[in-house]
Parts: sequence; structure tokens; C-alpha cells
Amino acid sequence: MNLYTVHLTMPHALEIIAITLGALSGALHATRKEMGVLGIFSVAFATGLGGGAIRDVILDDGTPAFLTNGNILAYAVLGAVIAYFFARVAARFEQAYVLLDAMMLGAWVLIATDKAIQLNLGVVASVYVGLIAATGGGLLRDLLCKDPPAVLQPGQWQAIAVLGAAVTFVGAVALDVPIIIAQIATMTVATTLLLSSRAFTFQLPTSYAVSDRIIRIFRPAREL
Amino acid sequence: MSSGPHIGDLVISLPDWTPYAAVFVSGLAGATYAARRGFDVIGVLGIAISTGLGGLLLRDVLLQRGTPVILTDPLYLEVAAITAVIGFFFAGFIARFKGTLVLLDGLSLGFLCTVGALPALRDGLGGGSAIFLGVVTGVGGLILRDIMVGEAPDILRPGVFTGVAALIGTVVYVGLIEQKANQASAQIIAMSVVMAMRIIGERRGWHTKSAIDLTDRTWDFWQRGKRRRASAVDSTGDTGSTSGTGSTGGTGQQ
Repeated sequence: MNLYTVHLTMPHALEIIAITLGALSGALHATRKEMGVLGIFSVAFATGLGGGAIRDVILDDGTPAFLTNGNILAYAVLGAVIAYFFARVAARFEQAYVLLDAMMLGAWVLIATDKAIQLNLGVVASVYVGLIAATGGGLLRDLLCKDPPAVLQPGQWQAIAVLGAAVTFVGAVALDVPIIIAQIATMTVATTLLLSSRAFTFQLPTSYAVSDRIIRIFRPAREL
Repeated sequence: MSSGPHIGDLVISLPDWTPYAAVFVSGLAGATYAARRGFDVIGVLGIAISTGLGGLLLRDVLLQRGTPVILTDPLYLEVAAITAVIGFFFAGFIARFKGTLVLLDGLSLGFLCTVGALPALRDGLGGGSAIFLGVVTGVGGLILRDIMVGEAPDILRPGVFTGVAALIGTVVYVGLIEQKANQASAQIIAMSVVMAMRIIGERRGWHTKSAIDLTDRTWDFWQRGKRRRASAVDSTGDTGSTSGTGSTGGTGQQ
């Protein structure tokens, strides 16, 4: 299993779109919270660049990419500026963002997991890095806005979608599936899981229900 | 570390599985915490991993010595994921063993503190940095847990004795190592200290206090001093005012 010989052939545009959209959605979120200019831009940067920054800091692989590559920062600024000046127009395409957001989640997973694989990390660690990078931007946004992090709340499928996508990619790479197919499969899994969860709104079980049920199986006689 | 007056020569080092056991205990604490607060599978998983591995992750990120050990050694993530599964299914059951949990929690906290301080000492950082890193490693998981849940970190608020226990344990450990104590025995002593403080604190209901405002007391003290000085001057003035004015006048004339 030579995990580390992968090279992502993802179009560069995908990464750019992911960062711009992240910054845009972060800025819109901050606008809804009625923040000032500084707040809007901070939240936009945190959302757009946070995932990648957390990935690079955790992997400890030199200076974070958004600092060494000025273009990344420029695209984040672009997203924030669009959201800041044209918030009403930008907010009108909310439905389109849902789709784009779902696709971008897949893109984030690809970018992060691929870097972890190239650093010769194991399967579990690569999935974990992918999970952190894809959800880190939203997590930082929620922390800055003082919301409880949405990723972890019950009823959210974002993390499940990311997990599924990361497992798909790492598994496909481990099985020597051609890289293009692996990428397309990853994006598809992320998009499908996220969109279908929106369409059907299932809830995952919370813990106590399960725990009580199990205890009742072991001790049917005694009441709890 | 280096040899010297050994405290316990029989103990060579702790077994290899100790870090995983520490991660297991603190991850389990995080998982049951998340489960009791009504998180679903993914929430319990995320919080268990953050609590169990957050401290070690923070340590490695701060130290900047290559990829964090929790990523290079796959067992850490696997152990944390297992604690999430156990905590998810048996949270109600685990919560019954409160005494055992406090004991294990104290042990794992103490161990994480020593594990955090050791690389700092090995890299030749100062004692203060080592203590800082040890405490960060010990309580970082708890802080991350509360951030992920969306609350102010529990450990920074007045309350349970965890943070102080971690600090004292780390200070003991770093002090022992600097006195050239055997690494493993220093580790065991620090762990016992933290465990003892956790257990006694839990039994006796020790609580840390919020900020003690010394402003008034300092001001009173200062005022009292001033008054005392003034009364001293007054009393000297009463007994010998002519001599006092005479002396100042004398200095002025010269």
C-alpha cells in the first residue's frame, strides 16, 4: 500500500472556488450577525482560510500555504469584498450556495487528505486531517460568532458527509484506484450525502437513548 | 534523564502502553461528557478525539518538531475513536463509577503533564517553558472540549481543582527532573501528587476561588501606614515642635 505516491490532478480552479466561496459564506454569516467591517472580514478569512491553516499548522509542514501563496489570500479578500458590498445580491443565491457548498466540502477533503497522504501519514490520520480541514473553517466561524459549533450539533450531516468523503478517498488511494476516479468519487460522496441529508432530514441517534436501551437488555428485571 | 541520586532505581520506566491508557481515560471522559449533553454520534466522536488528543496535539504544534505524534502513530487516533464508541453506548453506565473515574482522571492528567514537560526539558527549554507546556498538555484537551461544545473553558472558571492540580504536578515533576531525579520515578511522583490532589479535592469539595481583589486591602494598608506616619509626625510635633521647626529652619539657613 504505497499511499504516498499520489498527486492530486484536481483543477486549481476548484481550490480557488472553495476559498472564495468559504470567505463569501463566512462574510454573509457575519453580516447576518450585524458585525462591523473588521468582524465581517475576520470571519470571512477564518471561514475561507481557517481549514487550510489548521491543516498546515497541525501537519507542521512549514509555513501555512495561504501565507506563502499570496493568491490564496487575494481570493479570500475577493469573497469577503463581494459579500460586504453586495450582501443582498449575494444572499439571494442561497440555494445555489447549498449545492456549491456541498461540492466544496468534497474539494476541501481532497486538498487536505492528499497533503496528509503525501506526508506519509497513515489511513486514520489522513481521514482525521481531512475531517479537520473540511470542517475547521466552519468551526472557526462559529467560535468567532459565539455560536455553538454547528458541525458537532445533533442533526448536522456535514461531518458525516466529510467523513464519508475522506474514507472514500483514502480507501480509493489505498486500493490503487486511478486518481481521477478517486477524486470524482470523493466529490460525489460528499455532495450526495450532504444534499440527501438536507432533502430527507434524518437525525442520528443521540447517545443516552442507545445507552439506556443497552442497559435494559443486560438487566431486564431491574427498573432503572 | 541523567543519573544522579535516584529516588527509585527499581523503576526503569513506565510501560509503553501508558500514553494510550492516558488518552483512553481522558477521551472517555470527553465522550461521556458529550453523550450526557445530548450530542449525536459525530459530536461524541469529535469531542472524544479533541479531549483525548487535544493536549498532545497542542504540545506538538507549540513545539514545532515535525508532524504531531498523534498523527504519525495511528494507535492514538484509534484509541480515541474507541473511547468515543464506548462513551456513546455506555455513557450512563460509566457515569456510575465516579470515584474510579476521578482516580483514573487524576492519573492520566498527571501523566499527560509529565509527557508534555519532558520534550521541553529534553530540547533544553527553560523550566518555566517546560511547566507551561506540561500544563497545556494536561489541560489542553479539557479546554478544547469546552470550546467545541461552545462554552467558556470550565478549567478557567472558579471550580474544580483540575488546573491547579495539573500546575502543581508539573512543577513537582520539573523540579525533580532539574534535581537530576530518575525520569520514571519523577513521573510517578508527579502523577501521585496530581491524583492525590484530585481525589482529596473531590472528597473535600475543594474549589478554586475567583479573583481576590486586594485593591481595598492594599489601600487600607497604605492609608493606615500613612496615618501611622502622620500620627508619628504629629506626636513628635506635639512633644517637640520647636525642635522640629528649628531643625528644618537650620537646614534652610545652611
